[in-house]
Amino acid sequence: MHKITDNELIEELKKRFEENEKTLTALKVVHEKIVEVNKKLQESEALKSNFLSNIRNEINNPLTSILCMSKVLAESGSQDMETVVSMAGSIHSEAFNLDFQLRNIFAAAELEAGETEMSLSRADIDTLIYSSIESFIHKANARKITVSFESLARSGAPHEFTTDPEKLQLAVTNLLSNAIEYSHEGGRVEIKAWIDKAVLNISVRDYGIGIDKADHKAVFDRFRQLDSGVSKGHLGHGLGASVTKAVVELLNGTISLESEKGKGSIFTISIPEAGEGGSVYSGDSNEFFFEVQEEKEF
Amino acid sequence: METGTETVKKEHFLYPGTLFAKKGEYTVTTILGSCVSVCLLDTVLKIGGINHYMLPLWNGEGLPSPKYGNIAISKLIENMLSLGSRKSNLKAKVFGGGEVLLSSGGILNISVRNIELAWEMLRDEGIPVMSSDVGGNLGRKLIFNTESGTVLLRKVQKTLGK
Repeated sequence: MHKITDNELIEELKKRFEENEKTLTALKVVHEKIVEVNKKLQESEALKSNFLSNIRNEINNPLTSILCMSKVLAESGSQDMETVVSMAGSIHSEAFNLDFQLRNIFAAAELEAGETEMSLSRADIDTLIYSSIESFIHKANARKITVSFESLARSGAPHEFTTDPEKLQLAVTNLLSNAIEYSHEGGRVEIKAWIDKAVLNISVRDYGIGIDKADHKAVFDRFRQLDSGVSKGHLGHGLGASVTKAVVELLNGTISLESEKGKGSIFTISIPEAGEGGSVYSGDSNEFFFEVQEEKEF
Repeated sequence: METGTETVKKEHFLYPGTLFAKKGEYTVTTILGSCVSVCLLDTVLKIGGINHYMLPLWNGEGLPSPKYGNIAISKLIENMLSLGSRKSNLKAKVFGGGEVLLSSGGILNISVRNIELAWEMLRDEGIPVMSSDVGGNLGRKLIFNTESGTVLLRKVQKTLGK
């Protein structure tokens, strides 16, 4: 039997003590992370409850406007044409708003259920963006906001691109809606589209209230509406940005934000063309981009 | 649910962050790098479901979607149960979590954590894992038959210059 000397014992104890110390530090880090995640989850739950009351206004307000205006139109036969046209425009704008809010909610529900289906096709990007802009003309005019668009046609690029047009349109509409919402009266919103190496980029810039650097990440959290200072009182249920990010990621793309408080914001989405460059979205045509190394049945 | 007649197999391409579970025979194709897919099969009802998650745990950011393993696995089990499966009849197959040598620490960590999460959650749920092919430095193309539960797996490597 080997007898350990006092020195050996001390050395061994020291070693074990150090090991324990290391484990403790690692545990501490893990614990801190857990506390942080837990806090976030609790916040998310709280935001979810606020969401229900927010969404009530979002749905009720346009619906009430539509009901009132259509009633007036239907009941008074002697309206002059100008009033009729203007009211019809308002009804359309409110109905579009309602439809847009609902599409966001359904998109979020689908994304959260993992049931989002992709429907890829060649889409005319310029037309898609123009039609998004058109749907906001009423809202922009009411606040004297100019919306300009630097199209793909202007940059000389082909304006057709393979993607899921409906999802892309939802993303663009959300960015545009936010840009108008957070612009000052009389401000301007600039949209730009360009294609670089089979990647479609669309940026939406406003010169409105801007977002503090510290809040950049939180912008994409669901139900989050940054309620610090000036942005309070703005419309929205805080779902738009998180839906936009999730949809863009589903299209294998990225979204970036440049913004400073008081100086406006630029949101840019970049989406690779589906079926190009070994993109995961090309389905079976992936065989062209992948070399099969081994095949096995499980 | 054998009908005894030849039916046309329906096909589905599974995108990352989504899941699929339906009655009937489908061939579901998906391509995995560091992502993980859990296939669940009900050997009694002969139905199957599959997910494709990219990150292990939802951390409260963005939408709580099946892009995250903890959500993808519980949702898939939930969907199988709503199709009429009993939990005790469910068996699992786990694939993916590869490409570990493609990139430095970040990817390695994610692949390993994705795989570990599948083991842990399936063990906690009491669902046995029948077979698996995880890790390594290659990507995987999976073709899953939801009725027979068989998975045809091709190990693939991204060709250079593409």
